[in-house]
Amino acid sequence: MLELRGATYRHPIRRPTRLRPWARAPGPGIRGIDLSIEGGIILGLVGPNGAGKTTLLQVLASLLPLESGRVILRDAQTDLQRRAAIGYMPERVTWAGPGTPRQVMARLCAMRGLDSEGTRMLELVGLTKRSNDDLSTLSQGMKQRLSLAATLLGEPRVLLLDEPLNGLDPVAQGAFRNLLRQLADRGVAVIVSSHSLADLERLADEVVLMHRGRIVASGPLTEIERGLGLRARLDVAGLGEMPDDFGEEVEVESIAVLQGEDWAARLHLNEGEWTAERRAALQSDLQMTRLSPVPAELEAVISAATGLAIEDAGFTIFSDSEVSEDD
Amino acid sequence: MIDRLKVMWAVSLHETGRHLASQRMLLLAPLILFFLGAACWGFSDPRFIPPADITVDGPAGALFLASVVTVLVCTLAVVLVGFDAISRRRLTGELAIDLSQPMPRSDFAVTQLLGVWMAVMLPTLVGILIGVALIHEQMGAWPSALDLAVFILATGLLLWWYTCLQLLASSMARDLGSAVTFGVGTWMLFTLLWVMVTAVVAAFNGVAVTDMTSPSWDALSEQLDLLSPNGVYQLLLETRLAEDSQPQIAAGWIWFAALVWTGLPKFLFIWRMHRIKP
Repeated sequence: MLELRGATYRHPIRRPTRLRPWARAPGPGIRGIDLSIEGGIILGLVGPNGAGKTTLLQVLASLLPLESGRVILRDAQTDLQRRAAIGYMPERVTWAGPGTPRQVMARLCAMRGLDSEGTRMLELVGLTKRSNDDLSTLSQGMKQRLSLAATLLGEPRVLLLDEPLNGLDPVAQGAFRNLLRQLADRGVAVIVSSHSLADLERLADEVVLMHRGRIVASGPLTEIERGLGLRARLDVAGLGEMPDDFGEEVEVESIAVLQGEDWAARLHLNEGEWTAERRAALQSDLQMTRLSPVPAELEAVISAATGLAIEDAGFTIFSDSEVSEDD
Repeated sequence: MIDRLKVMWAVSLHETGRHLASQRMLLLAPLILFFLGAACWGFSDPRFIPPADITVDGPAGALFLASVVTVLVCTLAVVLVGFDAISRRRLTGELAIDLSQPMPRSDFAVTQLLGVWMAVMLPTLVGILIGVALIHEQMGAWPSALDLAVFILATGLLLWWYTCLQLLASSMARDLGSAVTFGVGTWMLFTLLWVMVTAVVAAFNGVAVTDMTSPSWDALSEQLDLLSPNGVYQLLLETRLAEDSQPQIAAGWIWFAALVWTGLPKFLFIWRMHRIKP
């Protein structure tokens, strides 16, 4: 449905020289991205700060012009047609100034040439009771819901959501995940960015791992982890005595014991997956209170995918030398 | 095309409503009404003695003198309403949502201009009409329909020019402080400092700057006024005054300057909005 071929966009950054004080040079951005997504899929875009997630979403939303490459959306040839079919939710919109959610939606409806869809969208995100309140009185979570309502206007075929879970409480996060799943089931293609693999684990069907403007891995999260040689992890806890041995292929790590538990451990499987059979075997022998798979840490995945040391994978965004190379 | 214009008009009305409902407008609108009304009332008072060689030539003359309020107060209102029209939305992230809607950026830019312009023009228009009623109360006569139409048209154009300049500044500013500095700076240049610019240019051209009644000074200042929105506004209004108060420069040049001021800043703002990154 939506495809990106060889997409490159680099943000111009100031590089003043004595003779050219206003000179600019290409800086961080995205480079040679190939990506495609079909309707009904939730794609997680994950990477550390500065990986290029927001830039990629803004390119898809026709907000940034491509230096090279193409954005292809089925049945949409022009930028305007693409924008009509795509809903874009930026990261953390702090709605401010005079007005109410109802007025915001009315204005956006007018921009799309719609009549009265705004009220329905406010209802969908649970903002009906606050729809006539001043924007300044809304909490960040409410503002996030308003952004989502704005994104859903016009029944878009593609949703681009930049860090949508930020600012939402756990209950709202759950409702949000359910809503996205319902939309995907109706055939909407959803791309969600996050810097947390744990956020995406319960939400995304597939994951695209970005680092320094490039895609370093893609596919279902478990496949990526196994493909990179990362061990499957499972947090377990129970009552009574903790077993000495969980099996030959399992390495045990101690973790914090929560209230109502006698013991807790993180189990690293040296090979294979924590399949339903393996989990059932654990449960049959022990009185378990907790049994939850643990996604790999983002920096560990990036480190495995790029060969960088974990500390470099976490904080290095773009080095000066990389920018110079592009000049 | 009609649908496109309808959408633009609908969005412009939303923008106007939003600006009119803002806290700053609750302060500015009464000020505009008060100053316009007071100026018309005062300048049309038979007991008013104008300074120097200024004469109040009937209702049209009083209206002309009241134009000092539009130059000082209404243009400042445009600056204060429009300085963050783009920059604040850019900072809050709203601009990204706006620009991702299926609306051409040029259309979006025009709706922003119309929104700010109509929000200031509305109280200004009401103020002018109240002022005209007060002039009638004082002088017992109305300004002619043509005089009033030219006054309203010229005032509308002046506010449009300032709106374009202010929103251009707002779209270029990276923070609210820069936007307000650029706006107030532009306002000060054309409102308070332009006479200094004229004096400096006159001095370089060998025109005596100490005698502001000399024909050579008049001619030069009128030419330079074409480069200032306030100057063009005054020249437009002067075309409706008595024969001896008419500008020396040809009316065609004045209307040509008005046309350039109407198109050029708008074009620059639309160009800027095409390039803006949210």
